[in-house]
This record gives sequence, structure tokens and C-alpha cells, in this order.
Amino acid sequence: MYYAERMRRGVVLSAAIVATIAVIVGFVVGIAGGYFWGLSAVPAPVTVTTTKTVTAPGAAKTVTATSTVTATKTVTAPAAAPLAGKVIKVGVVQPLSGPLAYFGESGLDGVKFATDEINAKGGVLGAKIELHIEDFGIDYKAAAAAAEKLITVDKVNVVVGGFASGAGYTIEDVTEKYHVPYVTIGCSADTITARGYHWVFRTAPNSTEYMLMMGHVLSMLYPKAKRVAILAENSEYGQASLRAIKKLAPQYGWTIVYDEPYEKRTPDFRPTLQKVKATNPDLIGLVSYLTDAALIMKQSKEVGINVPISTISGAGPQTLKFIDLTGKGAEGMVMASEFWPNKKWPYLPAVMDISYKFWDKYKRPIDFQAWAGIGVMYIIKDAVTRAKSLDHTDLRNAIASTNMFLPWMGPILFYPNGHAGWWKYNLVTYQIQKVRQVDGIPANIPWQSNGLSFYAVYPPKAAVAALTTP
Amino acid sequence: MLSLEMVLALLPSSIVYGIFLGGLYAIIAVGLSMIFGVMKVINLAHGDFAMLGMYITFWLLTIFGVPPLLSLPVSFAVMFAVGFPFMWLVKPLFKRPLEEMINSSVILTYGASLALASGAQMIWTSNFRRVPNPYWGTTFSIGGIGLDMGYTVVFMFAVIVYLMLYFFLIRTKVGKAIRAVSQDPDAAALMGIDVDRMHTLSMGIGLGLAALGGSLLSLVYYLYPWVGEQLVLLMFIICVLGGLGSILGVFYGALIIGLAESIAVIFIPASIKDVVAYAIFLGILLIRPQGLLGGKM
Repeated sequence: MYYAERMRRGVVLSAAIVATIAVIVGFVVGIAGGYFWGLSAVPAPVTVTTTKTVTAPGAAKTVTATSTVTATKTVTAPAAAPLAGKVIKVGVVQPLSGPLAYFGESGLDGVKFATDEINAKGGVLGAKIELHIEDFGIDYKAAAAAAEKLITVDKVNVVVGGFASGAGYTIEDVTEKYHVPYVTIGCSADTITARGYHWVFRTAPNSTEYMLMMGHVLSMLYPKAKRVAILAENSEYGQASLRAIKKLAPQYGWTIVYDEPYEKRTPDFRPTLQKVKATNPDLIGLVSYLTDAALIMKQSKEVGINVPISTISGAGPQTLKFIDLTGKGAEGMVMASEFWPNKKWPYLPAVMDISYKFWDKYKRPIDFQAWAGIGVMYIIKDAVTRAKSLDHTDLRNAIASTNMFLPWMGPILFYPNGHAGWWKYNLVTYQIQKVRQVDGIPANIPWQSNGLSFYAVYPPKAAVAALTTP
Repeated sequence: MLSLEMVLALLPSSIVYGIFLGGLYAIIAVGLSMIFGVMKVINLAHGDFAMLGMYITFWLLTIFGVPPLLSLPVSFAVMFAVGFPFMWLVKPLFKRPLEEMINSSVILTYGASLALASGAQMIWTSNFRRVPNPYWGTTFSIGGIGLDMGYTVVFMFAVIVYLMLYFFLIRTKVGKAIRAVSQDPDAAALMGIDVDRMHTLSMGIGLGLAALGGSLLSLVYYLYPWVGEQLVLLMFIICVLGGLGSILGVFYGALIIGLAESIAVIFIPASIKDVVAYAIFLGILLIRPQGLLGGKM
């Protein structure tokens, strides 16, 4: 017994020693190997890490990659540039974990894509763009804390991001307090730019603009619809959209027969949908994000709803993922959106060019969030070029007087309240249709799922396909 | 608001939906209750183990083509095995006094929850996924009530697993030993029961049930790394309502919450339906602070 015990101890002890030695050897070999491999692989760049601050787990690798690009290019920057050697610090506050991460990452990819492009061309007047990325998950108070940290600790020149309108509110409070320009990614609630704030600029259309577009298209598509039920989620985005819909409904001859908000991310919408069905609507409008919209589409069939269902405000479900999750049932749905590759406004080859470049890099289409990420960086680049300064006030004034034209987006300028005033020209309605060859857009586009993709159908200047009644 | 006849028309199907939803909630929540019952550990990472179960089903289907229902035993087995190292993580807590141990277990498992969800996002990205299965969106109707094949299958399996668990705990010797440990670990040890082993076993079963519940949930819901966070609060409420530690209580608790959520929607906006569930929860706790069947396993 005693010997058995001792033997057991001996075995455990020696196993532990062997394991420890193995770990140490592993470390040494790993470090040494990595060092020598690093020596032989590529010559070390001249300047190192222009980019730091990474909080999001998924983002780490890509950002470091960015830094090498910027580093090698620093050497070739034109010496005469007025901002040569300076760094434009851009603070990015996005939801990168939790249920909104899918959209947050899309926006961040857009930001990185544009940053890489700008830095690869020598930066802005010789200054490199440096990203400081913060994640707020789903906690809007954390978004404010992140913005505060970016401003006070990292001393960023401009803050971008947000995605959710709720986060937009808390971030703009902070940027207003510190007098730092804030350009949103997303954040469509009307009120974001209606609070008299001086430092906020919104790149997304607001709820009213979405609704004006969707109301017009839906009354073309379903001219007989009179009784309209609205299923809006109980978030700031959902309720702001609902207010806009109710305000504008009479001008399309609609009576809103159901407008109760729902709890987002519920697994079972059937009790709600039953109640909607009982109000006997001609048309059901959704103000939802991705999964809720897809689940409502599916479960509406279960409770026997046969009337058309459409997103009605905001572009929440406008992603390939929505077609993935909904399947064939998605065909014929319309949604208004800032950007999707299949449109010919303002210039089709430019739209295709940037879409393919983006796809090759991130394997996702430029959706309404990715576009905002790209757009925001070009707005900042343009503002810095004109301001020739990185001072907060100069930058703010330069952004306010933005007046540029992107060949893949259209004109870009801001109203005095900070809202983007270009959506009258640039907002496009897309319909989910079968993928096929249309003018200038091949049938083998990568941004398709289940043989379906979004095609611009309205207004005519952007349309690549005809609006068809499903 | 709605007329009486409309309410009567909506009621039957709402009740059926509520029962089905309750069955789903019950199967995910029961492991949480069991782990607490036996070890007094509050496992806040429970939802994340369910999330892992969903991913197991997803990957088995997409890589090896295993039908989702066949992956149920696999996800149970995998998470049962994970129970052993997890137990090793939790075990040092047992040296502390009970009160302090419960508090520490909350902090420990919350950390585990964050690690699991973030890890899942690093490995599988924040993408939303769906387990393609023949039940998805297939409907049939009985007596005018439109039923979803997915929820029906999930409910059937939930009941089967529940009966198996119940039989295991009531009839088998090991089950009796587990119950004995949950009642009084010291007395159980004196009777010759290996308390440590029973702890590990029930941790394994608890996590296995979480994963199994997750696999079932993946038949009717989307999966993404943070789905566990969304589940855990509701599961916790169900367990407390039924009586933490009680297996049958969880089932009743889940049914009550499922029914409350479904029926409440007829009368109030869906966004505040949880208010009804929580009001019932508070009401029951006022009358029975130990939960519906608290104190019994």
C-alpha cells in the first residue's frame, strides 16, 4: 500500500517534470525559431507600428497588417506635404462583440479598407491615418466611455462609428463635451442630428428619408394596400422609424392598423404575428435587424399570413446574410439602402471596381455599413486636405463644408445640423431578384446567395432591373 | 382593445405555442438547476455551453453531413467530457464557506462565459448561422392551429430527454446517489457515496444537457457566439421560479414563462411581454420564496 502510494506519487511527479521541461523547450524553440524565421523572411520595415490600441479580439490581426503597409510607405511620402510626418488619429467606436458584431465588423472593414487605400497612396498631405479601435458590445454607456477614452487618452483627431442609434446618442454627448468632431457610421434615428449639437455629422439617411423612399416604392408595388401593420423593434432605431412612418403614412393613403413594438431577438414571434394577422392588414412593414426579420418572415408562414411583408424603414436586413437565413422566401422583398454593388448610380464601372476590390479583401459585399465605413474615411480625408490642419475646430469646420463627389456614391455634403443632405440623390431601393446577367453586371457576381441578390430598381437613374411584383 | 371573440380565437394557438416554447426553455434550463442543486454553483456560463452545443450541431452537419437530430448525443457527450476539466476549475471553490462559494462561483462562471463567447467569436466570427434542417419552416395544422415542424420536434425530444433524466435520477442507483448528495453531502459521504465523483458527474450531465438543449434550439433559432448571453437570464429566472435544484420545478417554471409570454402578447404590446413573465415570477416568489418546488430535487 505504502509503496503503491509512493510509486503513484513518483509517476505523477515525473510526469509533471517532463511536462514542464516540454513546455520550456517548446517556448525556447518557438521563440528562437520565430526570431530566425523572421530574420530570413523579409527585411524589417523602416518605421514600425503606426497603429496601436486594439480591443476587439477579431480585429487584432488585420490592424497589425495595416501597420506594415503604412510603415513601408512612410518612406516614400512626398516631403513637401504640409502634414508630412504627422499622424491623423481616428477613433473608431463600433459594436465588435455581442449580437451587433456582424454589422459592427462590416463597418470596421469599410474603415480599414479606405484607410489602407488612402495610406497606400501616401496618406493625406503626407499624414498617415492611424486607427484606434474600441468595442462597446451592446452597452451604449460603454460606447460613451470608449469615446471618452479615445479623446482623453489616445488624443484622437476625430471619432467615427456607432452603428446603433442608441450608441450614437451617448457618443455625441461625449464628443460635444470635448469639442471633437464625430462622424457616425449608421445611426439613422432622426433625432441624432436634431438636438442642436455642433460636432456631430451623420452619414446615414435618417428614418424619414428611408420612409419617404419606401413609402413611394411600396405604393407603386402594392397600390391596393390600405391597411398597413408595422412591426417595429423596441429600440431607438425601431421607434424613431415608427414615428416617421406614422407621420408619413397618410400621404400614401395608409391606415396603420398595428404598431405595437416587439422585443428584439425573441425566438418565438408567432403569438405577435397572430395578433397582427387578426388586424387583417394588406401589407406588413418590418423595422427590424437581420435575424428578427428573417425569423418573422419564416414564422409568418406558420401562422398563415399571406399578405406581403416588406422592410419599411432602414436597411437593417440588407445583407447577404438575410438571404442566407431566409432562403428562397426572400425573393421579391424591397429595401431602401445606401449602398449595394448592383446599382448604376452614379457610375457603374466605379461601383463595380470598388465592390470587387472590397470583396477580394474581406469576402463580403459592400453593404450599408461597409459603405458607411469607407465613406466616413473619405470624408475625413477630404476635410483634412482642405483644412491642412488637424486641429479639432478646423477639422469640424472642414467637415461641415464638405462638398465632394464620389464616383461610386454620388454627391456628399451636410446640412447645417450635421445630417447628410445627399440622400435625395443617393438613396436607392433594391429588390431581391434572381441573379442573372444585366447591363454591366455579370451573372457570376460573388455577392449572391441561394441564386438571389439585391438589384437596384428605383430611382430610374440607379436602376439596373425593373421593379417586379412578387 | 381586442374584442372577446378575437381573444378567444387567438387563445388556443397561443397556448399551444406557449407550451412548445416552454418545453424548449425547460430543456436548456434543467442543467443549470441540476448543477445548482447538487453543488450550489451558479453557472452563468450555462448559456454559452448551450451555444457550443449549437455550434457542434452546425459543424457536424456542414462538415460531416450528420443529421441534426443525430448530433444530439454527440453534443451531450462532448460537453459531458468538458464537464471534467470545468469541474477541475470549479473545485477549489468548495473549500470556502457556502455563502462565499456561491458568490465566487458567480464570478468564476461569468468569467468563463465571457471567455467562451469571445473565444467562439475569434474562432467562428460574429457571423449569424442557421442549421439547415428539413423541419425549418415546414408547417402543418391541427384543428386550425398552424404548427411548425421544428418546434414540434424540439418539444417531443425535450419531453423524451426530460423523462429519461427523471428516470435516471429517481430509479437508478447513481441517480439516487446524486440526489443524496444534493440533499446532504456530509450524510451522503458517511453512507459511502463518493461525493466528489457525484459532483463531477452532475457537472458533466448539467453541461451535457445545456449542449443538448442548444442543439435542439439550433433547429429553430440562429446561432452566433453571443446567443448564450441572451439565454442565461431567462434560464435563471425559470430555475428560480421552479425552485433552484428542482428538476420537475424547472419544467413547470418553463411552462409558466412560455405560456405567460405567449398569452400576454394578446393583451399587451410584445415589447413588454417580459413584464408579465417577471410579474408572475415575483408573485410566486412572494408566496413561495423557495420557488414552486424548491428544496426537492
